Amino acid sequence: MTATTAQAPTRPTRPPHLAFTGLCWVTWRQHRTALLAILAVFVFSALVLVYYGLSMHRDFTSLKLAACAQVPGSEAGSVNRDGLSCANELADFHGDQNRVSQLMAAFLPLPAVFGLFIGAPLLAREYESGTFRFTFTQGAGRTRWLATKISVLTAFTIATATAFTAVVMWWYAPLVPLDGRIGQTGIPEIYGAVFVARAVFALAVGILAGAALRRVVPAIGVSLVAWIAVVVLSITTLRAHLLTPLTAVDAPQNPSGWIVSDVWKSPTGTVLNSSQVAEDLYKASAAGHKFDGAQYLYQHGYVHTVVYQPASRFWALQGIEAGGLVVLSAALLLAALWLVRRRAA
Amino acid sequence: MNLTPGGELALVATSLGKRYGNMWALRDCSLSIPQGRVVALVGPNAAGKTTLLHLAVGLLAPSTGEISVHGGLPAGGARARECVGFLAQDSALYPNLSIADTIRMAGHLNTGFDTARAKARITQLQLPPAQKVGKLSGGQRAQLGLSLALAKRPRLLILDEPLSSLDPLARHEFMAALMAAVAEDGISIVFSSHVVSELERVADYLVLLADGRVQVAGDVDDLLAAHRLYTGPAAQADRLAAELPVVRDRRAEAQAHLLVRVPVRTEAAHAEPPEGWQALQVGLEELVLAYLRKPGASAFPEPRELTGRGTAA
Repeated sequence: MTATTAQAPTRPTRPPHLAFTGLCWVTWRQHRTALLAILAVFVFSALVLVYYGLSMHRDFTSLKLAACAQVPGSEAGSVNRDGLSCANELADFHGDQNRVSQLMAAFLPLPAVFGLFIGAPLLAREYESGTFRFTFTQGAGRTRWLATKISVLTAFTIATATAFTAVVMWWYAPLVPLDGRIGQTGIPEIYGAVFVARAVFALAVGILAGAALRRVVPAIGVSLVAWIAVVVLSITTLRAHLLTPLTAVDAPQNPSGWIVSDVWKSPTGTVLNSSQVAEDLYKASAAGHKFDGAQYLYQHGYVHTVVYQPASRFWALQGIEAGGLVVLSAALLLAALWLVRRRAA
Repeated sequence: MNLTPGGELALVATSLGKRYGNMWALRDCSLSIPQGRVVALVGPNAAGKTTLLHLAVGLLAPSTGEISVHGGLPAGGARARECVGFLAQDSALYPNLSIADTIRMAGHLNTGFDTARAKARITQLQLPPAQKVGKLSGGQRAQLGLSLALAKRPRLLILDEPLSSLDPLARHEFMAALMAAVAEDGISIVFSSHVVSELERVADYLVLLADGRVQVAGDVDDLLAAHRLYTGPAAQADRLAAELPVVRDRRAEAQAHLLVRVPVRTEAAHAEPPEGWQALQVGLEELVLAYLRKPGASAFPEPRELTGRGTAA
C-alpha cells in the first residue's frame, strides 16, 4: 500500500491524544485580536489611574491627611481624632477627590468589553460565517472546543479584571479613610470582587446570546442590554437589600455608611422634604439650638428614620453581589454549552 | 444494524428524517452504502443533499430514524468524528487565518492529524503558507479544505458541493486530487453535486435525492445494467410501457424512445428487446437527467454479489 510509506515518517510525531495546550492555542489564535485590544484598553485605563493615583498619594502624604481620619458624625471627615480641623488640608485635596466620580464613570462600563469583544462573537461568528461546519466536525468536537474556550477566556477575564481592580484599590487607598468605600461615592462599582464578577457575567451573557441568536450584531446588542439591565438593577434596587439594612430612629448622630433612606416626619406624621427639614432646623437654631437642632426636633415629636448599610459591611455586600453574579454566569455558560450540544448534536 | 463482519458499511441510514418546523427537508431515507465506494449524491437544489450530509457528520440531529458511519459508529460521535473527514460547502475555513495557522489549528483539533501530509500537499499545490485563507480563490480554498480533510486520514470522506464554486480547470484538478486520495488510502467518499456531467468518470455509486426523498440509490454498474433505451414503433409503445417501468417516454411521429428499467436478474427474458425494437445502453448522465425530470420514478437495484470492492447489506 502506498499509504503506509507516506505514514511512516509522520506517525511517531503525532500526539497520542488531544492536548489542552493545543486547544488553548486555537483559542488564542481565534481571539488574539480581541484579547490584545482588551488588554490595551485596560492597560491604558490603569495608566490613567496610576498617573492620577501618584499625584493623589503625593498630596495625601504632603497634606498629612492620614491624621484626618473620618470620625462618625463629624462633617465629612473634617475633624481628626484629636478634634483638630483638617478643613484647609481637605480643601486642597478636593481636586483629587472630585476626580473619583469622573474616573469611576469612565471605568464602570469596562467589564462589558469582555462580552462585546469576546463573548458575543465567540459562537455567533462561527454560525454567521458558517465556520462551525469546519470546527464542529473536527475530532475535538464542539463540546470540548467550547469548554476549552470558556475556561481559557474566563481565566483571561478574571486575570485582567482582577489586575485592573487591584490598581483601582491602590489608587483609591488614600480616600478610604476619608470617604469610605460605601455610600454615595460609587466606588464599589469598580472596586474589588464586583468588578471582576461583572466582567465574567459580561462574557457569559455574550456567549449565551451568541449561541441563541447566531448573529454577531444582535448578540452584541442583546448582551449589552442584558449587562446594563443587571448592573443598573443591582445598583438601584438589589444591592440595598442584599443584607437587611439597619434602621436608626432619632439617632444622636447621623449613621455613617451607605444611607439607603433618610426620612423626617413631622409631629403630625407627614413626611417632610429636605427643604422643610432645613427650614425646621433653621427655626430650631433660631430658638437657640444651633448645635443640637436635631435633638431639639426629636423632643418636639419629629421622627427621623435612617435606613443604612454600615461601612463595615462593604466586603460582605461585595461578596454577596459578586457571588450571585458568578453563580448566574455559570448558569448562563452551562446553558450555552447545552444549546450548542442540542442545536445540532 | 445488519453489519457484515468487519463493519463493511461506510454509511447506513435507517428511516432517516429531518424536519424544520412543518417542512421535511429529508424523510424516510434508508441507505446502506458499502465501503470503498465513491458515492455521488445528486439532486436538484433543496432536495435535501446538504441536510443528509450534515446528518452524516453530526452537524444536525435527525428528527426520525438514525444514521451511522464506518461500520456502525453513531454519526457525529467522538469516534465517528475521528474517522470521518468533512469538507463543507465553500470549505467553511476561517478567512482571517493564514494557511499555516489553519493547518496548525486543524492539527490541534484532531488526534492523529498528519500535519506533514497537509503541508506537503500545500507545497505541492504551490500555495504560500503565509497567505490568508480569505485571499485564496475558490479552487485553492477547496484544495486546502481537502488537504485538511485528508490529513485526518479519514476512512470516510464527505464533501458538500465541493465543485460548485470551481471553474472547469479547478474542478478537474480537484477531482484528480480526490481520486488520487482514493487510490492511495482506499477510503470511501460521499460527495454531493448538482453537476451531473463527468459523474460517470468518478462515481461508482449513485444516490439521487428529490424533494427530500431517496429516488435512486445503487451501484452505478447495476443501475446502468438495469436500464435500456428502447427504440421502436410508436404503435407498440403503450403495450411495452405496460410491461416494463418506464423512466422516460419520448415519442416522435412513428418512433418511440423509452428509457426503461429491465430486471437484471432475469437477463435471459429481457436480454433481447421485443420484435422490431432496438435496445441501447444509457449513460449515467442521461439516466440521472431522466430521473430528475420524473421525480415519481424510483429505482433501487438489487445489491450485487460480494465483490472485491465491498459488500452490500
